[in-house]
Formats: sequence, structure tokens, C-alpha cells
Amino acid sequence: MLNTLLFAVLPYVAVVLFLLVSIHRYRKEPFTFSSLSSQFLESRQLFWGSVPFHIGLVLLFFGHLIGFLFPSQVTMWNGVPVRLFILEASGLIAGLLTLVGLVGLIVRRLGSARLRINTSSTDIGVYLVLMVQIVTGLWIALGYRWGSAWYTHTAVPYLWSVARFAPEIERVVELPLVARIHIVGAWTFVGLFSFTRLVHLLVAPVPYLWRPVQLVIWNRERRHRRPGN
Amino acid sequence: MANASAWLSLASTLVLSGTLIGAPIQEAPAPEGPQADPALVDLYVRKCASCHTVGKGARVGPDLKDVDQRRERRWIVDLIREPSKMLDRDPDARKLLQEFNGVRMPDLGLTAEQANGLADLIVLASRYPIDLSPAFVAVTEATAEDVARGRDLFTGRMRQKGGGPSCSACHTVQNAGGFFGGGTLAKELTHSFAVLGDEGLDAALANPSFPLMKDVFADHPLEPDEVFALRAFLNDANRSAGTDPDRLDILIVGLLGTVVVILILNAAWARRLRGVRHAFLPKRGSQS
Repeated sequence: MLNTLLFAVLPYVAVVLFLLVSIHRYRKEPFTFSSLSSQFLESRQLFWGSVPFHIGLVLLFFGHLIGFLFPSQVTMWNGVPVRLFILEASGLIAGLLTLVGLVGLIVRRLGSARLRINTSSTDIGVYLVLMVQIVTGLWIALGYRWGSAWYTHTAVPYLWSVARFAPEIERVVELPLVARIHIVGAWTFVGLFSFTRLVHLLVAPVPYLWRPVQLVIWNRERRHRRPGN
Repeated sequence: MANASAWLSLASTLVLSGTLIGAPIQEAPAPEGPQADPALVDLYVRKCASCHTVGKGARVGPDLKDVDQRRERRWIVDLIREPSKMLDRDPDARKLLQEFNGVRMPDLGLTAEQANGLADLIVLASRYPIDLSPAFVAVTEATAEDVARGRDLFTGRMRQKGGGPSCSACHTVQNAGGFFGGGTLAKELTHSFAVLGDEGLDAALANPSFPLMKDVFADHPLEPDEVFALRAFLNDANRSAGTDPDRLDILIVGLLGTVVVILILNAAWARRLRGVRHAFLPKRGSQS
């Protein structure tokens, strides 16, 4: 019963919430569709959190996505032990980068009074879910290797069965507890997504990657521009 | 329905045997037992034979010969159909579980009709010589090529015909996987040949009934020649096992890699989020 709830019902609740709330929020509160950047409040420590966190998370996202879309090719790649090791080590490095980044972001947020004031309860929820996901993901990578090889024959068929509206929960209910927590955490993440600042992912300024550089330079201190100062 | 037809078939055979006993002695072939339904025999070989025999001794689970004389029909059918429930609730089933080292019979996903049919078949095979063993060639006939092929199948270097995952995705064997080793999701298999024996391993590979493996291989069964090669390899692994070889620790590789990436990011990009103003203010201070 609990398994049905977690692996067959939760996914649909999460996806419906993701779609409906994202659309509603974009239409009704477009200016909240942002990362609510705190760079202006603190930028020195931000590098040590934000950069490894984002690079690691993007790599992990695409790693999982590639396994989901091309399971057969991933299985073929993993057929040679050294290639399997390279893929696993890359995934582990991405996971550790994300962990370093997330810890950096949490330390930064706790250490600055200005940031603490600007931290909402949904931010704390995001940190918690992300931390659970990263810790369980690393635990799987180290304790139940080789995840990239068995993921394509357990979780991937399960995910496709969910996509076909015929969830085959037996594909995952026998996995170790930590892997099941990782899957439930992923659906929780999807469900929470549109209530949080994570929505900035949906409006990421991808063209910035190839647009010409724009330099913004202040050549005077701000107080000189203010009348009366 | 299948139950009734099997009993009817058994009764008619017994009646026929009685008729023959009363008849004059002729040069006729010895009377054969009733024919078992080939579909049921196939089902038994796929689902039951890895753990049970009928009259050939206990294996992973008990010998099923004459089980109908020890247990009630309903108990047998319930155990075949929903072993997990029975093993949780029924005192006799729990006693058997203890007797057989706590190895739980998995739920096989059988219908009531299939469970009844298997119960009939077991009763029939207890009375008449019906062959319920899977086709089997012992690994004593394996060559060095078979062992090498088994190793390649194990590590995934050679893809299985059915498209299943390589064994090393989840299992480790001491002399496979080279410097990197196999997976740790499931049991270490270096001595699996000694534990399960040739026939047990054959059944376990051909029709896996282990929790996760049975669902993974339901869609990607191993071919008989692949099962043979893997048995040959596991036999070799068991015989040649020594001390654990040195493996490259992925945690150390991961930690070193992470430090290197962070250093590269720092060298190439550290100023990115620090704002242009930070750089200008000290310059301005030094000019004034």
C-alpha cells in the first residue's frame, strides 16, 4: 500500500503540481519567476557555493536524463570496465561538486544576517530535499556500485512505465532503502519545484551562453552620483 | 478446472491400469503414466526447478515428492500462489523457512489456475516418472573458450543476446572486472559455484527467482549457451580464487577529481561573481 502510494501515486501528484502551479505562477506572478538572486547581498562566498553547485547539478541532471533516454547505449558504453569506471567517477565528481556547493551555500546563508532575513521556509525545504538527494545519491554511488549500470535496468523501466501511465513499481520496490529514498526524494523535488525559487530553471537565459559579452563598468563610487552626498 | 481434469486423467489411468492387470499377459509395452501438460511442465521448470525437485532431494527448498500426503491441498496452492503471505502468517510455512536457512520463497506472480495446475503436476510427478528437470550439460565439459566467453558475459564486454545487464553491474567476482571490480548492489559471487552447485547455478541463471533479478531478467532471459558459459566462468572463479586483488578506489578518484575541478574553476572563473566593482575600488583608493 505504502509502495503504491510512493511509487505509483506520488509521481502523478508531483507532475500535476509541477505543471499546474508553474503555469499559474507564471501567469499570475511573473516577477516571482526568478532565482531571487542574493548576489547583491553577498558575492564573495557565492562563488564557492553557486559555481560547483550548479555545474555539479547540471551534470547530474543530464547524466540521469541520458540514462533515461538512451539506456541501451549506456549499457553498451558500460560494457568495457574502464569506460564504466570513467562514467561512474565522473558522476561521483559531479555529486561531490554539488555537495561542496550546497554546503558552501548553506554556510554562506547561515553566516550572513542579511541573507538569513531573506531566507524563506520554502528555501529551507529546497535545501533539505537537495541535501537528501545528494547524500543518498553519493551513498548509492559508493555503497551500491555500479549505479549507472543497474539504473538503466531498474529505475529507467520504472520511469518509462510511469510515463506510459502503467507504473511497474516492482521494478524498484526491491532496491535498497537508500535508492528508494532517492526516488521518492526525486518525486518530492518535482512536486515542490514550482513553489520555490527553482523555477528559474524554466526561464534560464540559455542564449547568454553565446551572446556577446556586455561589460558594465562603474567608474565612480555610487555616493558621488547621489545628490547631497 | 485444471485441477478436476488432472484428477480425472489420473483416475482414468488407474482404471485403465486395473483393466490391464485383469487381461491376459501379452507382449505389450509397460503401461505409461498419465501425460503431464507440457505447458505446466515448462512453467514448473521455469518457476520452481531452481529451488525444488520432486523425488531428487532437497535443494534450496524442500523436495516436493508426496507433498499432498503431508499438507492439505489448499495449503499447497496458497503457498505456491502467495508465498510471502504464507511465510509471514502460517506457522507451518514459518517452520519450513527456519528449516531452510531463512531463504524466502519469492512471489512468482502466478494465477490461481497456474498454482492449482502446478499442485496437480507435483502430485502427478510424485506418483509417475515425469521428468521435471531442466535440460542440463555439466560444466565438466566446458573448454577454456567457454570460460573466457563467460567472463566477457559477466563483465559486459560481450552483450547478452536478450539485452540484459551485465552481471558485474551488480555482482563482484574476484578475478573479473580487472582493476575496477564488479558491482556491490547484490551478492559477491566468487564462490557461488560452491554454494549453489552446478545444477543450482544453472537453474538460478536460467530462471532467476531472486527479488530484483527476477524482474530485470523477466524481459531479458539468458540463452542456454550463455548460462553454460557463465557457469563455466563461475566454476573457474571458484577454483582459482585467492586473495582479493588491488582495486582502484573510486572514492579516492572522486575526491581528487573534485579538488582538481574546483582548482580549475577557481583559476579560470573565480572573479566571475565577485563583481567588477570589487576590482575598481582598490584601484581608486590607490589613486587618491
